[in-house]
Parts: sequence; C-alpha cells; structure tokens
Amino acid sequence: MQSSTATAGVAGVPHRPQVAAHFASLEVQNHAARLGMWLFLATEILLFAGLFVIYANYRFLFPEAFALASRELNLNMGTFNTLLLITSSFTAAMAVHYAKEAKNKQVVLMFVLTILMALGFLVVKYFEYSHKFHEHQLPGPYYAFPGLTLPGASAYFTIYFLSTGLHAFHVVIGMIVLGWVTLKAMRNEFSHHNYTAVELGSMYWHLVDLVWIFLFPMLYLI
Amino acid sequence: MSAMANESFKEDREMRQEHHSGPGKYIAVWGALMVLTLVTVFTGKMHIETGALALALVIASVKGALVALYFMHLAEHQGASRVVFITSMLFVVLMLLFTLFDIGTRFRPALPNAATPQEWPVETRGQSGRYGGGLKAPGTNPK
Amino acid sequence: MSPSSSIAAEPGAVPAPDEHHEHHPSYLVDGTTLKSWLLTLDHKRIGVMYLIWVLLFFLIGGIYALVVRLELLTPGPTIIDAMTYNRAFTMHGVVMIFLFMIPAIPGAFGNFMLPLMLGAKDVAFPRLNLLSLYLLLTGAVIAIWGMINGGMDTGWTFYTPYSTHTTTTVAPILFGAFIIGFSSIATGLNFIVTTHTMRAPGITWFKMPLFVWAMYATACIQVLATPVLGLVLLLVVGEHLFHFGIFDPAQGGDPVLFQHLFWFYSHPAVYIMVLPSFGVMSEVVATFSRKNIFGYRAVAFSSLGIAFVGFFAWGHHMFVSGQSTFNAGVFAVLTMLVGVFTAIKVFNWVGTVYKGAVDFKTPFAYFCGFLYFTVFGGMTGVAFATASLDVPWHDTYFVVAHFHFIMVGATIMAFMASIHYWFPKMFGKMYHEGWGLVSAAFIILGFNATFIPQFLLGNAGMPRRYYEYPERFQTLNVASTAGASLLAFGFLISAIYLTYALVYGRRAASNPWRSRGYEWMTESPPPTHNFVGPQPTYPEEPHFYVEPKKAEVPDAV
Repeated sequence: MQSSTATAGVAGVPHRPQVAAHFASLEVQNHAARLGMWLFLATEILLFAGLFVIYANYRFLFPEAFALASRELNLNMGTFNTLLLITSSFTAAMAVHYAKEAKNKQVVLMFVLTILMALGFLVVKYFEYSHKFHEHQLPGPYYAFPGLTLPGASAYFTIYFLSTGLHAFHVVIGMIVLGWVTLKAMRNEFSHHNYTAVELGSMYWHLVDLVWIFLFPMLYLI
Repeated sequence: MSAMANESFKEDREMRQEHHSGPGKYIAVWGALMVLTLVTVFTGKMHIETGALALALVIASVKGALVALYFMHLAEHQGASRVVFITSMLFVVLMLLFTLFDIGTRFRPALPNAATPQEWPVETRGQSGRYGGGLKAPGTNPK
Repeated sequence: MSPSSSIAAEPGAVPAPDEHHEHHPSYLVDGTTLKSWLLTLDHKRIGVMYLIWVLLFFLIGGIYALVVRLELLTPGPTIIDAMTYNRAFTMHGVVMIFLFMIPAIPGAFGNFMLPLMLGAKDVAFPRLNLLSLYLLLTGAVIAIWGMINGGMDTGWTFYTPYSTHTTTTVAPILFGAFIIGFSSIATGLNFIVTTHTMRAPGITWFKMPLFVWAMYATACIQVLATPVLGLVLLLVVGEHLFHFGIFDPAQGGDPVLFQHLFWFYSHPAVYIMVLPSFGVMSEVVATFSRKNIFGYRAVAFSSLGIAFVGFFAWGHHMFVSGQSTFNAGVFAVLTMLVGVFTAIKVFNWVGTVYKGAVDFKTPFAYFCGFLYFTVFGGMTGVAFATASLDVPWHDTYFVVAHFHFIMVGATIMAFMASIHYWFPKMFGKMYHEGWGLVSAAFIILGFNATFIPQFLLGNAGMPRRYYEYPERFQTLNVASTAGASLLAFGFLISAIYLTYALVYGRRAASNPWRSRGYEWMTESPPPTHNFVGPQPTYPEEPHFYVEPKKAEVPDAV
C-alpha cells in the first residue's frame, strides 16, 4: 500500500502509479504487496487460532454448560450480524471490481456501504454486550448469572468476550483502513493500473468476515 | 521489465487473463453465502444428536472457501498466496488436533475437577501402572 | 584491477574502488546526519543499527547471567536474596531470547545480506523494515522499564497460574515482548516477500545462497508461530489483571492449555534462533574450505524441513506437566524427526570440509566450535526426546546445558562467525586475525568449561532455577562459574579488537576471503544502492569454487 499512490489525474483520469526505486517494475511491486498482505492475513488467522483452541478444549470439558450458555445468546441478532457481515464482504469485493474498471465513484459507494454495515455490526454487538452486562453474564470471576450456574459457564463467557472482542477490534481497524482507501477513491486514484490499495483493504475485510464465519456457529449454534 | 522474478511475471499474466467478467460471479457467491448461513442456523436450531458440530464446521468451511476463492481471488491467483493461506489453515488444524488429543486422552483426574467430558475409555499403560505406577481409584493405591 | 580483489579472469569481478568512489559513496558515508540514520530506508544501515542494539541487549543479558552464576558459587545465599535471584534468571532468559537471540542474525545480517545475495537493491518493504527495528526498540524499552521496576520472577516461560498470581511486574515485560513479536513478524514477512519477488535475473530458487534458504525458512516460522505467542501474552496479561481463570485450576481452568499455546510458539522459536546460524555456517564453511557446498539441495530442503517439523514437536517441553501419555508418545516420535534434518546439515558441512583446502581463519574457528556444539547439543536434544529419559532430566541443569549448547554453542558461535566473516563487507575494515583466533579459543574453551559441568550437575539431579543447592554440587557450580568468566573474557577481547578495528583497522579489499558468495560481488562496504554498473554475472551455482568435473584434481581452483 505504501508506494502505489497516484496523483489525481487530469480531467479525472487516474495516472499510472509510481514504482518504488527498489522494485523492478510495477507488476513486481503489486505482486509483493499482495503476497505481503496474504502473509499478514496468515498471521491474523494464527492469532485467532489460539482462541479457537481454547474454545475447543473448554467445550470438550464442559459440553452441557457450553450448550446452555450458547442458548443465552440472541440467535436472531447473531444471524443478522452474520448476514450483514457477509453482505459487507460482498460490497468490498465489488469495490475491487469497480476499481479495476476505474469507476471510482462506485468504489466510494461500495466502501461506504461496507463501512456502514460494519458500523451496524458493531451497534448490534453493543446491544448484545449490554444485555450480557445487565444479566451479569460476564467473564471469569465477574460471572453472576443466576439462570446458569454450571461450572464452565463462566469459561464460555470469557471465551465469548475475548473472541468477539478481538474480532470487534479488527472490525474497527478494518473500518479505518477502508475509510482511508475510500478517501483515496474520492480523489479518483484507482484504475486498472492501480487498484492495489483497494484490493489489500478488501482482503483485510474478507479476513474479518472469514473469522466471523467460524466464530458464529462456534458461539451461537452449540 | 527484464529484472523481474518469474513469479511476478506469472502473477501479472494471470491478472491480465483474469477476465474481467461482470458482477454476476460475486452476486452468486454472495447468494450462496447467505443461503448457507440460513442453512447452518436452521440445522443448528434443530440440535441434531450426532454430527451437529461436524455439520456446522463443514458448512463454515464451505463458506470460508467461497470467500477465499472468489472474494479474495484465490481461484485465479496461483502460487505463493495459495500456499500461504493453506499452510496457515493447516497449522490451525495442527494446533487444534494436538491439544484436543491431549485433553481427550488425559488421565481423567488430571482434568479440571468440575469438568464433565464425554466418557470414553482412557486406558494407557502409564496410567494403569503395570510397572509400578499403580494408580487406581483414590484410596485403593497398592503402595 | 587492484591486486587484492578476486581472481582477474573471474566474471563479475568488482571494479576497483577508486573508479566509482566519488560517484557512489559507500552506504556508511552517504548521509552523515543523525536523521539520515534514524530515518534511513537502507537495509544496510538498518542492519547495522540492529547489530548495535542486539549487542547491547546481549551485554545486558550477559550481566544477568553473571549475576546468576556468581550467586551459584555457594550453596546458600551469596550476593543476592532469593527473590532477586528469581528475577535475575527470568530477566536473563527474557533479554537473551526476545531481545537478542530472535532478532540478532535475521535483523543484523539477514537485513544486510539478503538483498545483496539476491542481487536486489533493498528488501521488499523498506519502511516496514525500519518499523521492525523501532518496534524491537519500543518493546525492549517497555520490557526493560518493567525489569527496572521490580522485574518478573516467573522464569522466562511465565507458566500459569504463578504468573497470573505473582505480584511482580509481569504486565510491562510481557507487553514489551508482545511488541517485539510484531517486529519479528514484520521482519519475517519482509524476507519472504523479498525472496519471492526480488531475485535478480539468473537467480532462481536453486541458485540462491544457502543463507537465503535459511533466512526464508526462519521467516516462515516467524510469520506462522509468533502470532500465537502474541495471543498468549495478551491472555496472560489479561488474566493477570482481570483474573479470567482460563489458565487457573483454582477457577476451573487448565494450566496445561497455557503450556500448549506457549510452546506452540516457543519451540519453533528455537528454530528461529538456530536456523539463521545454520545458514551462516553454510556460507562460512564453503568459503573457508574453498569448496562447493556438499549437497546444496539437501541443505536447502533441510532448512525447510526443520522449519516444518519444528512445529510438530512442542509437547516435548510438557512430558512431565500432566499432558496425556498418548500425546507424550506422539510428540516424542515427532521430535526425533528434527534430528534427521539437522543431521543432514551436519553431514553436508563435514562433506564440504572433506578434501577442501581449508583456510583456517577466525570464522572457520567458530565453525569448528559450532560443529562440535551442534552435534553434542543436538544429540542431547534427541536424548531428551525420549520421554523416559526426559522424566529424570526435566527442569534440571541437564536441560540448561542442552539448550545453552545449542543457543550459545551453536547460535552464538555462528553470530561471532558472521560478525567476523562479514566485518570487511559491512565496514570495509579488517580486524586483527591473531586476536580473532585468541578470543575464539577463549570463547570455545570457556563455553565448554561453563556448560559441561552443568550436564554433570543435571544428571546428578540439581534442579534448574534453584537459589540454594546441596553442598555436594558446589564444586561443579564453581567450575561452571569459572568457565563463565573465561567465556565473558573471550567476548570482552572480541569487543575490544573489533571496536579497535572499526576505528583504526586496516582498509579491507572488496573480497578479502576470495569468497564466491554473491554478496561479495559488490564493493565492501557496498554503495547505497548495492550494485553499481552492470548486473553481476552469477556463476553456475552459489558457493561455486570448483568445477565439479575438476574436483578430483588436487590443485584445481
């Protein structure tokens, strides 16, 4: 993402981006950026993996507590959030599609939709979290929900807050990144020769979606 | 253009060939993802006796594969990106597998004491103590 | 052609320094302000800065080591109390591992040499490279601040539940390590992309120098394993502050789960530490045996093999922790596989030296020490993999001696070898060879004197991390401390003559070792953009000293 800035074109026509001095050509630069992003996404996958490991182990140890605790979650809200995130992933993919066609206005539209849906996701999560705070369904020693006192219930909520919290953190980062790329699109920078920033931002967003695709059934559908 | 690694050339050729079809493909994938989400919610709510977890994981994997292959263009870009993604998935599975092996085959009293895992025979020589370990039920240790 | 450069008829010979000097200044003098160094994007300058900082961290870790060894001179209290002792060995581990061993060879020499060896002008992401350095420094500052404000007493492995209950300053040190983890990931990511995309024409995968293969394998481990450590660090800090209880048996948690997640990173981490040193040794052994590396592909693939298999072995740290016996068996067998790949390397290095025309310079002296330490450290590792042997040896000085044989014996020998091998390349000066050999002798002998008693101590049953020990172990402890002093003395001598050489050393030729390594195909020190003039012509294969057909003829060169 660093060296692919283009100057705003004359009469709205985007220019070819600059190639950094150490790269052999623009194609190499783009390939490097893409490969670098995939490697970064691999690190994010491994980061969430640790939480999945903890989840798997505790679910094995406390199957009933986990199943009952999972029923306490609002499945409608969770399903809505999943559909929202998938749609936001779709709009992000469309943004890349339009960027290749130099339709910068559609890129802006798509990313704005993506960011709005992400915001919607966070709003729903806020409602879910506040419900849990209200019911004292909290991690570890703060757990005080009288409706489920089996051992393992507090572990479930610890894992719930840790994984959805880390995920929400990544949603926020994704929104910031996409916002930045949207600003560039507003300056009409993208075209067939230069859409790397859109692609990388979109890839990050797809990862956020990918993690949620696994988190959702693991937490809500036990 | 001469000083370019072979991989970048290949990647660039793929990118040019990658035909810039309309949005139809993305809409189809999006539709499939939405449908699969509803399928997983529906089957999840049924609380199937056996195989619920496996089914949920399979559906999630299919959804994930669709996102990776089509939204993230892995179906088109061969080479290092695919290796990176698949390798990371393999290592996640590795971590899960070996920790689950441990917790599944551990001597039951060594698990957290309030745990109620599924019962299955956990008999390994070390635990039954043929060569002097002698651990049996509490209070019956021969030594 | 100046007489000190490579053989005249050789293709790709370096132009005489004077011709280009005024137009292409070396990277060291191209920009002399502090800002030009602190905000540099030049991988060579970043490498030099890494080198300076990791040497400082090595000194700090070494001071902690000396404190520990001094305390162990007598069975009872010697110079510090028990809590301080616990902090000392913890900080020795944390500083040595996170601040020195993990960043050292990749950060200093990987950064400097990788683009040169690939015929590139820089790494793929120079700004990320600079960020990587600053992340290391930021994490180090936070961790050192934590050390000064009390310091952690859990051991560098910070096992739960003690680490989540202790009142010592766990949070800043672990958070510092968390930031350093990002530095490691950034470096790894950079190296992988550089290797994939920035090779010069003619350098295919199987024409890359073996150091590049080793760095590539290391980078793969860094990218895949470090995030798990990041998560574990966050979880432990969180649990320390909020007492979630996922790793605390008193709250229904599983402490062994912590160990699984911790060692999933920390075992591959030891390969992050040791693989680069294997890469350096491949370079050194070929150069100083004046012979093509024996079994290039085997060595290249074995680097990847070690990286891959290293991920399957972590449970061997947990044989006595309460892991299931089934798992112990699985990990014991899988751990043995790593020995296979390492052995492949050892055989190939020995095969390279065999019938070579050895030029016994300081780097080669370090190679000899390295080989001996790798073999014995590695073999004791395989012995440990046998779970039944691990049970009496676990957490005794036998373990301490084993990993120091590899970490210090192998890795630091390689680090010293790389400093000496690449000193003329990086600084254009030559150090005094006699003093080089003297300090190598002190270091190798001092090292043996320090750690062989520890094997004996461990086998006799002395536990590690113990402040007091029975009287009967005192002789060996004293011997070990004496050895440590010799070791420290050896390092001190090298520090002195190397610093002297930096300032007053003789100007080195562009390729004083007459090495066929690709990084020697440019001036020493290199100009800012690495290569001046036409692209060098790369030979048939790297480390190409002898036409294979001519290898039978004794004086073929």
